[in-house]
Amino acid sequence: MKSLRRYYIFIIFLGVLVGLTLVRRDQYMRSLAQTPADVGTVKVLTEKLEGKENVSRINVMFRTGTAQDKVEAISSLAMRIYIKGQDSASLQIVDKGANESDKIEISSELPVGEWRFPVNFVTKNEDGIVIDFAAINITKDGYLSSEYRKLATFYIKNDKEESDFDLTFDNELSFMYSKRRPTTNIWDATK
Amino acid sequence: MLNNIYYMSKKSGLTASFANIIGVITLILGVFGGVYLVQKEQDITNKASEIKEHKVVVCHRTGSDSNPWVQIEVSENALNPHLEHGDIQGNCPSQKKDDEGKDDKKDDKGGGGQGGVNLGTNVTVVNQVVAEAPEPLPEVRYVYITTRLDFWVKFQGIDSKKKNKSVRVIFRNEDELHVYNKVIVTSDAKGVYKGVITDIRPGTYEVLVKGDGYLQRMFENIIIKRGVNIYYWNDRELLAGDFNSDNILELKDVAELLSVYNEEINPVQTGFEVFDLDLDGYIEIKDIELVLINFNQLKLVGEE
Repeated sequence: MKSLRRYYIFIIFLGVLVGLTLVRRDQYMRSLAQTPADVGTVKVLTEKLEGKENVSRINVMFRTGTAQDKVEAISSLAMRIYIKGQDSASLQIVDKGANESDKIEISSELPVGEWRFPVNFVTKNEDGIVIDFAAINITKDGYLSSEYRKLATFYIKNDKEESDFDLTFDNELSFMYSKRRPTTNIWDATK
Repeated sequence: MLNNIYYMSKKSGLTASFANIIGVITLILGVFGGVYLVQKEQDITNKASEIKEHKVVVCHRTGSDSNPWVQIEVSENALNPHLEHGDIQGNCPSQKKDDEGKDDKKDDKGGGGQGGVNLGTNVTVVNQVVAEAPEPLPEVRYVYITTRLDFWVKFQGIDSKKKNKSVRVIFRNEDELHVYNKVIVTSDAKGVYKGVITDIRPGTYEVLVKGDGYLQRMFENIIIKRGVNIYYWNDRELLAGDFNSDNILELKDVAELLSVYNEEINPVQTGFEVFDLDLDGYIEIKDIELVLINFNQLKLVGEE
């Protein structure tokens, strides 16, 4: 019977060891899965405005993960967009009514009261147009979505209809920061 | 418990197979025990590492003639040992004569850091901690051999008497640069802070004042003479939001603040005091709103 007692002790010891190994492995896998790098994406959708052929509507869309199990809560994002054309002087940011605008339109899809937009202005120089924009989520949990949601909309009026324009993000000034510490820029500029 | 099972098994003459079942159950219990223990340990480790994460910028004295100063980021816990070795708290200040090409500052990684700064070796760093000095006697009948500067500053968001703070004060002219890393300032009932620095070399300076979590302010044509010098700088308050001390307010700083805006940190815990801008003991939406007032462009550089 003494050997039975030793058997139980051995089994408990073994159980603890197995448990430790399993959890270590689980923690490791979870840390790999949770590495909040390169899961945030911003994309733009461009379409011609109906009835105003020289005006294009640009919707800036974003998501904070690529799937349900690979999504990160964020606290904030910012972007600088450059818009250039063959003839940049002919480009203009306008509002819905095609009047010149120095701001872009904030999305109504984001929950009211949970966001602030402290930076929102358009500047024009000889090289083209620069849009600076920042969105701050002021909730305690942050914001997450693996589905694309609209962030902002703007309209580009091009006086020379035949010429096209390019739109690029400045990677030095475009970020999407994780809510949790350590704060990490999760914006994947390659997507 | 093990003994009980053992004696119960013995008493009732259990078969070996039943003993095996008990063994399996014990194994499962053991696994759960292991899991629980490791998770507990992991939680503690996570908490500890979270507290260690807050990093600040220091201007590090390398000792090399060719590259005497370098701007680096260190953990807040490691700040004091760096200062004791003659490092400068916060971003590397530029010397006045190097300021000509200041327009390129936006490209500097550290906003006055290693990119655009050519700090010489003739820099004095004083880790002087000066508490509020007693008021001078009304009729002074003796002559000051040395100098004394009494100055007043205001921190955005503080409008009533609060606990002491510390600021970095730099005196700069074409020939000299003197850095006082930790000058203790004391608030009055309206939240105006007073500080005192003694033994500054007489001369005319630009003075740069920077507080933890605040952007730097520059005050020009400050004349330091022998005796008591009085300057009120509280009409241009220090702007909140530079949490990593690189003298730039950008999204990274806002994100740092937002990352501690949650239930776990409040009331504000050790290591996170810099985010409690109004010093009310809590990191709240008020603190965030304060920073957002200043965050009206993607990169706001403090005065240099």
